[in-house]
Amino acid sequence: MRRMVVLGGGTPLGRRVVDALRRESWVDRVAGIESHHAGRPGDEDLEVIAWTRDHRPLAEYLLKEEIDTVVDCSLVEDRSGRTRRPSGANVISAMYVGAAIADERSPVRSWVVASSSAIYPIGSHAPLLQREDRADARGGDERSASIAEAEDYARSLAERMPDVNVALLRLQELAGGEVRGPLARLLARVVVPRIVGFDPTIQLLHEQDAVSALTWAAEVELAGVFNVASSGVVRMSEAIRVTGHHGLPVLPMPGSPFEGLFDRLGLPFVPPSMNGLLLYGQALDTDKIARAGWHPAFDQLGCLAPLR
Amino acid sequence: MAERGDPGTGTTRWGWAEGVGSEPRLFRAARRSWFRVEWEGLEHVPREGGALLVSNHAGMMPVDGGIIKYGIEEKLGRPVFSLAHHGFWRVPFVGRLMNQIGSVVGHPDNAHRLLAEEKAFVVVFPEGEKGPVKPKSERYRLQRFGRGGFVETAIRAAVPIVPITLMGTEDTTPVVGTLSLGAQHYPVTLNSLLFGPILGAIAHFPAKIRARVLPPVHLDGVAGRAPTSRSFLMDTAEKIRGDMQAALDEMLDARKSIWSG
Repeated sequence: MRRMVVLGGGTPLGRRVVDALRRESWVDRVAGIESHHAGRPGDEDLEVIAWTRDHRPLAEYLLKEEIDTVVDCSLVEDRSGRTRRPSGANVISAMYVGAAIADERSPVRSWVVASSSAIYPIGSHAPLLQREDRADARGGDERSASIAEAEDYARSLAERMPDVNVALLRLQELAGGEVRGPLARLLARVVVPRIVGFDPTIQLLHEQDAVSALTWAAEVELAGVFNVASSGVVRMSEAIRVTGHHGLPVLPMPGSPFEGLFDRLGLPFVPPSMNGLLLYGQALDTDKIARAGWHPAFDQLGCLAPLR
Repeated sequence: MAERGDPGTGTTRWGWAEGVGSEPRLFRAARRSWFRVEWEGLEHVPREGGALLVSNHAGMMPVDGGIIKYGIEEKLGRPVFSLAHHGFWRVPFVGRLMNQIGSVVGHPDNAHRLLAEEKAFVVVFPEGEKGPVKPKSERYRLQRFGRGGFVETAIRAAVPIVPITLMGTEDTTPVVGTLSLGAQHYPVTLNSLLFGPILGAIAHFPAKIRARVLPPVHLDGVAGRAPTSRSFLMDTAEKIRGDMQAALDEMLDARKSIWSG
């Protein structure tokens, strides 16, 4: 029987993972943890441990509760660029979690990190399907750099501590009834802005597939870097058609100054941080996780269904 | 050959619409009646497994990719994918057009997936843009074959390289000069002088096109072994280029007229 915590247990994804783990027979205890009180409904179940400034409170908690598995849903990735968080937040958070896990008395033997496909560079030169070993040519923007920095840290911890299994799951754009990434939020609009003259290949990950991949990784104590996406790919135009929404061809917005204005006026626009994705698209090669034994239950149609 | 798509989304695994990759009727008519393409040495094309087809590149709006793709597909019934420079995908509507004709971004990973996993034929033009933009004096002279990246791709995927020389393609859009704008060079063709820049890019002269398939180059000794020394890759690329140039010279010597071949 396993004893686990879910960091970022108050995030939409974290909450779903906590619920899923509670239903598993092999889990003895699971707690959702947040670093501070956000005061959201449903937060009463969460434990609050201030781990983003000092690793010791978390280390003590892990020891006291004899936690063997940490599922980390606390990495922040937002292609819409709306959340303004210091670029170092992800690596700093990962560092403190890592320090708590690396503590000599730590009972943790498995660390599952929900990372993101945002780590891969986007552009006309990128391959159709991104493979795990190809993240070296980083896009260089703040968003991918921040994820990459946190991943680098987690990987180096894995090298240093071979008896701790560190799994980095690079989750594709999330889509579902409750958990939605920026692309899904865009597709869920009645009028979907798309860039004139481009029809990129996109790929979504159903929230239930994301939860199932994270719980599976925790169960089998997976180690390594893995792409996670629901099966198949879909063209942007086709995705809009399937949801029954209307595509509106727009010109790419050069920078963020107008973003707030357009948003306030309720005008459809492509957030500048999503320009790359809506020009050239992105899809992940998921062969590696399939070989390891996890398969998605949803295809792209299934991902689009809750966005109708 | 038309690609089959996912029944729900109609999207193929390459992100294409279903039916993409089938030959446009106008192109088939041009291939058969306008350029009257004739093939020789088709027995050198492997009947199973992947293969990297390499050919000489020419023309302002090169038709050579289509001649090879649709020619091989028609003769042998096996799918051929053409790789193209990623720059095409940066231009509005052009990238979509490239997808519609069944082109794939020329990235080593894409080539590897097609060759090793899908056991398909992939056609590349190792001269790159140096082929179409070369000056008039370099007519039917094969330009440098890059740095041998295509050889590395074939070794990694453990497939043979099949050289194909095309004669006649350079006469469909004869280059009369080169227009240089900064670092960019654009070929000026007789067609564009006669018909203007847009129609001139589409209107090709009905030169007879002959395609010759040379014996495949097997890299079995080194296949699957990586990394391979840079000098080996470049030497192999240069040898293939030399063989293709020799074959092309022979074909040009035997040619009686540009129009009838």
